[in-house]
Amino acid sequence: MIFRKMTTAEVRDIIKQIEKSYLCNLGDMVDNNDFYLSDMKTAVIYFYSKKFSENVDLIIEKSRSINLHPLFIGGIFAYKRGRIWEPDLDVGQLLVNKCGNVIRLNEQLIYKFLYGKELLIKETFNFAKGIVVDYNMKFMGYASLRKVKNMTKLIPENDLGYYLRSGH
Amino acid sequence: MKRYQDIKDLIGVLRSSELSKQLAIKFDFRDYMIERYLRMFGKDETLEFLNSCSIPLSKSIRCNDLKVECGRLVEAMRKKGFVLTKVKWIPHGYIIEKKPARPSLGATIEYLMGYYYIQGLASMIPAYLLEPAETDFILDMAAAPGGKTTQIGQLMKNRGNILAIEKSKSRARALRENLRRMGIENVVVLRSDVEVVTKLGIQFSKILLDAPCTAEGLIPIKPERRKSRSFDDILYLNKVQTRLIDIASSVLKEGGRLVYSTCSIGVEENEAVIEYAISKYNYKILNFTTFPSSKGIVEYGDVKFSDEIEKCMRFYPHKQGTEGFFICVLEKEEK
Repeated sequence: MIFRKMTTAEVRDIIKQIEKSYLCNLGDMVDNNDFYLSDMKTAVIYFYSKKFSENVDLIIEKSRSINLHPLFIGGIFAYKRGRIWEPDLDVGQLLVNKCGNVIRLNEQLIYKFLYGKELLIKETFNFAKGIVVDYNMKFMGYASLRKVKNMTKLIPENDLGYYLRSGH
Repeated sequence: MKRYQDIKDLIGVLRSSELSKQLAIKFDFRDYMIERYLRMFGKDETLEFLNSCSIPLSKSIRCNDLKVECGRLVEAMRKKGFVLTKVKWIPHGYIIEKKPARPSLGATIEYLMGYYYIQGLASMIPAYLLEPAETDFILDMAAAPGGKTTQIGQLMKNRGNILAIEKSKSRARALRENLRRMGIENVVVLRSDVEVVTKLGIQFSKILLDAPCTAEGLIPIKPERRKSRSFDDILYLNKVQTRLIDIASSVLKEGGRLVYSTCSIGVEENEAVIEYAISKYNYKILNFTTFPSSKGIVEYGDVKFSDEIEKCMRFYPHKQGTEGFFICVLEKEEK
């Protein structure tokens, strides 16, 4: 089990992967936050505003001294699926404003998407991973895209419907 | 009238009168509960209270202005068939006056986006009384499922620090998901017994102790509570609550603020705990008149609590139209 603060270089490597997948520029994310790696069942990277992270470091240090570690810090930036780092729901809206691979859906399709349904839409895109938003540019989730003739199959990967499905 | 010394002083009130037996049968409560209400309210108000327990409370939500402008939320919900009315005395509180058959309040897109939290009106008040600021390092001692934690984070605008403690694995998971859904990013969650904070060597500027309780204030929402708890359960919870006061007192900075709250209405879980706190530690009770609360109880049967306990706040379904709730704001005086 690992729980530690990450170096800027480590974070930049992971951010590069995400920037490439979703066509983003996330430079100021690194400038404004500190990042913490939790490598247990699933590897997760948490972020916390640099301005206030001194006390977070104190909690980590003090809890480590009694063989504890935090369950959760700030927000989740990314989690690892296989070998790939995927951005989390917590930074979805931030990515909407900083990334190019954005797909807008109407309310009817959004409901289907949030219920985990694959969608066939009459449009083509030149990317394989997209950020799904509603008509007000509000983040709904992440999807992978597959070309089907002149259409695109949208496969929900991680979406806000999770909060309904998780039952909390 | 004798001065309250400890919880044993409150056991004597349990001899059920004929009236309490009759009312217990009529309203389907346990005798001991009615006997206590008669001592708290007198006969007429006890009847008012018991009648109000049969009337379901309106659902309420807290608008999350970190994510949405509240006027826009009201409008978006109106389009879905929800009618929301602003509660004048709670900055982010709305009553659900009307709702559609579908979707349910916990299944709208706005809910999933973290635009609101379904929360009782009275339970929104402790976070305001904490007056959290970005310079604060706050301890939330019994945090899950996160209604008040997310509210404190909202009021701090995601600045400063909150340490939230929760022992139960499933409740800690619920806390985590609510923090994420509501977009709260200034919380560290430790899954542990709350005793752990005494070992961290950290002092906090403010503490919220929304204590585990018998939920006697939630009878309008959970009718089964009329019969589900014994007086022994209440005595047990009193022990837990006073222990939590000890823990909070050991990690609160001098000049710091402790907000104690429960969703119970019994003096055993409230005034008796505050009396313990002010007699053992150097606390003063702060007076707030911002909310339309009833006063803390200082005379209960033949037992007398300290006069300043009157500054604590009580909420009832028959008076404020909220769940039964108790809040007291304590300030640790500098030596």
